[in-house]
Amino acid sequence: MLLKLNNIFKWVNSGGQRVFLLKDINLSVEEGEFISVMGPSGSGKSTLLNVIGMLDNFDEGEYSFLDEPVHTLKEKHRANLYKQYIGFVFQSYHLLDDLTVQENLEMPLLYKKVGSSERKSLVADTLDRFNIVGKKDLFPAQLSGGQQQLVGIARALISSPKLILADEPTGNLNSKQGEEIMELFKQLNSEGVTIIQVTHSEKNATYGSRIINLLDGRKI
Amino acid sequence: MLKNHIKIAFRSLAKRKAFALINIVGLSLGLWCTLLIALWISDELDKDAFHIKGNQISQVMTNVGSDDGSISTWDGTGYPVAETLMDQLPEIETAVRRTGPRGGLLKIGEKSIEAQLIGTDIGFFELFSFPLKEGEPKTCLKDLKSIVLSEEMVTMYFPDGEAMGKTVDLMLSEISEPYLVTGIFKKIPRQSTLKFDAVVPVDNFLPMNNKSWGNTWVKTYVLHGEGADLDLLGKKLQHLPEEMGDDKWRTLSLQPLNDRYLYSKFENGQPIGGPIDDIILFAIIAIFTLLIACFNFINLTTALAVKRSKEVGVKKVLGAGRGSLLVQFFTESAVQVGISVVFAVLLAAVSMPMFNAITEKELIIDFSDGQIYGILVLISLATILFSGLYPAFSLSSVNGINALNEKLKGNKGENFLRKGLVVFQFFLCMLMITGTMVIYLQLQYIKNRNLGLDKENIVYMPMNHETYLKSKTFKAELANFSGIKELSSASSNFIDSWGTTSDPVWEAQSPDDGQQWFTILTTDFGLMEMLNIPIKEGRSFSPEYATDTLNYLVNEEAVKAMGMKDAIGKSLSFWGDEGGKIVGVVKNFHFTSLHNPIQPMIIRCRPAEPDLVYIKTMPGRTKEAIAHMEKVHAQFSSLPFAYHFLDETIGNGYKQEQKTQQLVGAFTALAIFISCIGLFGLVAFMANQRVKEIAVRKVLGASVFGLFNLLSKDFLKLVGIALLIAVPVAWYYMNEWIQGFAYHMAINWWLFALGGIMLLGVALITVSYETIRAVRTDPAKSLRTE
Ligand SMILES: Nc1ncnc2c1ncn2[C@@H]1O[C@H](COP(=O)(O)OP(=O)(O)O)[C@@H](O)[C@H]1O
Ligand SMILES: [Mg+2]
Repeated sequence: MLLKLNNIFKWVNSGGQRVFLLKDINLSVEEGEFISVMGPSGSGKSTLLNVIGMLDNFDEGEYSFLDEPVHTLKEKHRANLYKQYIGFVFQSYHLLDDLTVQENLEMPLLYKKVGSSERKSLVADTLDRFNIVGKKDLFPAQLSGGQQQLVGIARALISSPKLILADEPTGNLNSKQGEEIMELFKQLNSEGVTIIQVTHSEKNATYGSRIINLLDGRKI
Repeated sequence: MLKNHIKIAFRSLAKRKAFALINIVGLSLGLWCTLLIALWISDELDKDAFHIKGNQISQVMTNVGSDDGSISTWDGTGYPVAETLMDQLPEIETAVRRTGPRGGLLKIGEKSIEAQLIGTDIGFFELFSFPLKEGEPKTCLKDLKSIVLSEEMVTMYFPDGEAMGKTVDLMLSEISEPYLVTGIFKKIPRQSTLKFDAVVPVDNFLPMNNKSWGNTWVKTYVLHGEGADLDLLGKKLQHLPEEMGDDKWRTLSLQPLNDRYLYSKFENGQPIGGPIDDIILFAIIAIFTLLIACFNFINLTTALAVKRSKEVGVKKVLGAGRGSLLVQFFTESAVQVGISVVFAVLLAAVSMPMFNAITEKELIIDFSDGQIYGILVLISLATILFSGLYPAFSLSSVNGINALNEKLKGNKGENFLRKGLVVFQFFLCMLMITGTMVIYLQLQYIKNRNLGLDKENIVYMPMNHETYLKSKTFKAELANFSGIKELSSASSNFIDSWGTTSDPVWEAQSPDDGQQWFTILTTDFGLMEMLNIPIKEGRSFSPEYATDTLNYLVNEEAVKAMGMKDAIGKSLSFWGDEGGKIVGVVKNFHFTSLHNPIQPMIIRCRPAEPDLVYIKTMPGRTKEAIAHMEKVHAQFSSLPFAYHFLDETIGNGYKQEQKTQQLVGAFTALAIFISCIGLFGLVAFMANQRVKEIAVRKVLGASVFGLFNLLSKDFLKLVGIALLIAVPVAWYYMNEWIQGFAYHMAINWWLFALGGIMLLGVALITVSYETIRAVRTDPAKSLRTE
């Protein structure tokens, strides 16, 4: 078992009223799964992903990740946990504009305090693996959307996480680029990486082994 | 990691060039003036600080009370004070007298030199850190006719460098006497306020009435234990003069040597200021200017934070902790401050000659001296901390996921802070601009004030030993030239305040008149006429009356002080004079700077005792007249010829204020400039943020004026608020400053109005430039880019 959500609630108070963003979510994810989260806009998909990624808190329920009870952990411990095991991929890539491709890849390793020589070799390996060696000194603005997302995924994978969380990774790409990214996910998944992706596309959802549907913060 | 931070810092600067430029220009200018002022202040604080026993030395001051309860403080004491103190107070280990520096004519071999001499007691070289190159500090001044020369004098006038044991001739007053060279002192440190070429025992300067307590012609220094209770010691010696039979008006007090230079002004017996006032003033100005630059930095950096929050969000998601983000943002601040420091040092190096000219200093940026590094590190660190602290904390506290979801709105508290800082910047600018105006106007006022005397076309020259001896023929020769209209003499230059005396006794003096103090002016015939000082009653001195060399003129204040109804013909005497009659009353005229009110004055006529020869030249023939004076001077004396213009001398009496005015003016201009570029940056940023809004409004039919109003109103409001707050504060401080002048202009409301309008005008221009550009952008263009 990679992670397990039990009766997760998340809400905000708005005008004296409690507005639920997540309502009684129960979910177990095994290692090696490839899950697609679907649902209309505003249904809480991103919120769910952020909760799983420990970027956001929840108000009620239990969450265990690799048997660690996330809801009781200290901030610092939690940060270490996600730094080590989770990689994020975003719809709008979120590359750092001031950094080159190579430096973007290096960033998570710096924050994990990986030594300089190990960092160098990891970056070189990753550049090779994604066939972007020729682009290593370019800045994000000099790349196409598909290439930027490729770098985004490479960056998420560089510290060999167990889990990739991808929030509409193909949302800003044309269908050909989108397909390439999905193929990449499929390949990664076959190599053992667990993937949870949010998608609007039925077709992309079929790459996954399981589909979760959300409506108004509730699993249906 | 740090290398990484620095690299990224440079890249992010390069990307936001306009902001980096504003930050760096502002900080460079702010650091520049802080650096100059810091160097100046450290030079001031170094004054006389080299004396090793400095914190065990105090100077004895004389306080003279008067009937109205006021006390005036002199840095001189009577001759007997030193010995009495050593006798009476065991806490005082030693007391040393000093007089001078005074000019004396030194003859070494064939050469005559006008040297600056001081007279001291034997212990001088042991008490003060003027080390001897040759000779014994303990004994070198033991014999009355011994002399200790400066290293420079020896190398200049003893070709073989052998001076010890040789004899030189010294003329201190009328006769020349041989002195034995018993020591050579090393070059006097630049930081010394006391400069002299030679030292002789103090008794060589003994005046006629040497032993009186009232003749305060020596400075007396005492050595006490390091932790001595100066208050207690001061109390013990306070009434010593009276106990020893002197009059009760005179008391003593102590001032530590280390305070002597900085606190030179006294009021009612207490030190109230001096150079320390300027140090504080300029320290405040430096801090103001640097603060204004730091505020720009804070404002622009936090405004940009809206744009940078995405970066922070991504980094946090990638695992960046708060600490590493803090380090990153501090690095960015440090890089900008670092670049600015380099520019500031360059600017300081280039501007140093000008700064020295204004401040009359000889400051240098000396990289072989550790001090400059200390100053630089200190102000850089302060700047980095001050400007970087808030932005770093604010930027690094952004919530990662919210930033990525672009839910981050301009933070309310931050907007408030930004507004507050702009208000504070312009508040400081307003203080400085009104300060500059008040100082300027007061100096104009002084320049244009009727002094009660005519100072145009007047040249005066000091007499020396040689010309004094033949003063009668000297004056006659001088007058014998058609370019010279009138000739006389006086003991004053009409600007420096000099001693007063309570010695005069007058006809029908009553005990009710109390203790009265008079300034004595010694003149020749014709001075009142030359300076056009009107005679109010009676007549002026005239050679036609043989007894006029015993008679007196008095000013209106003196008549008041003596309580006379009709002064003419009343008798008057002082200083053991034969005594004479008051022949005339002159209208009050200013004989000291306008800091002081006009005091009672007695004028006497002593043609045989000229101190300064006064000459009125024919208009347009001043050059010829001076050439003639120089020629005549050369016939009478081998000493250098010197002359001064009276109007210049009087003008120089306000040098301190002029210096302050120039510096405050320059720093004010800088501060306003820095504030304006900051404002410019903010406006540009805001306009940029609202490009789309402006375009939409324009499409919907908003007028250019309406849009301009929309964008600039908020900023101008802030400037307006700043001005309103500044007015009472400025009014208060300017009133305080102006009270330092006995004669001063009135501070008017229009002054503040003018300052406000000027500042508002500058702000308006600054704001307009960017707003008009934003408003005039083609809306289709800005809408398309989204
Ligand atoms: N911090 C928050 N405060 C208030 N409302 C929020 C917050 N986060 C998300 N929401 C709201 O919750 C709903 C779910 O958002 P989200 O998870 O982003 O939906 P999805 O990704 O499925 O489009 C939306 O209506 C959004 O506006
Ligand atoms: Mg979403």
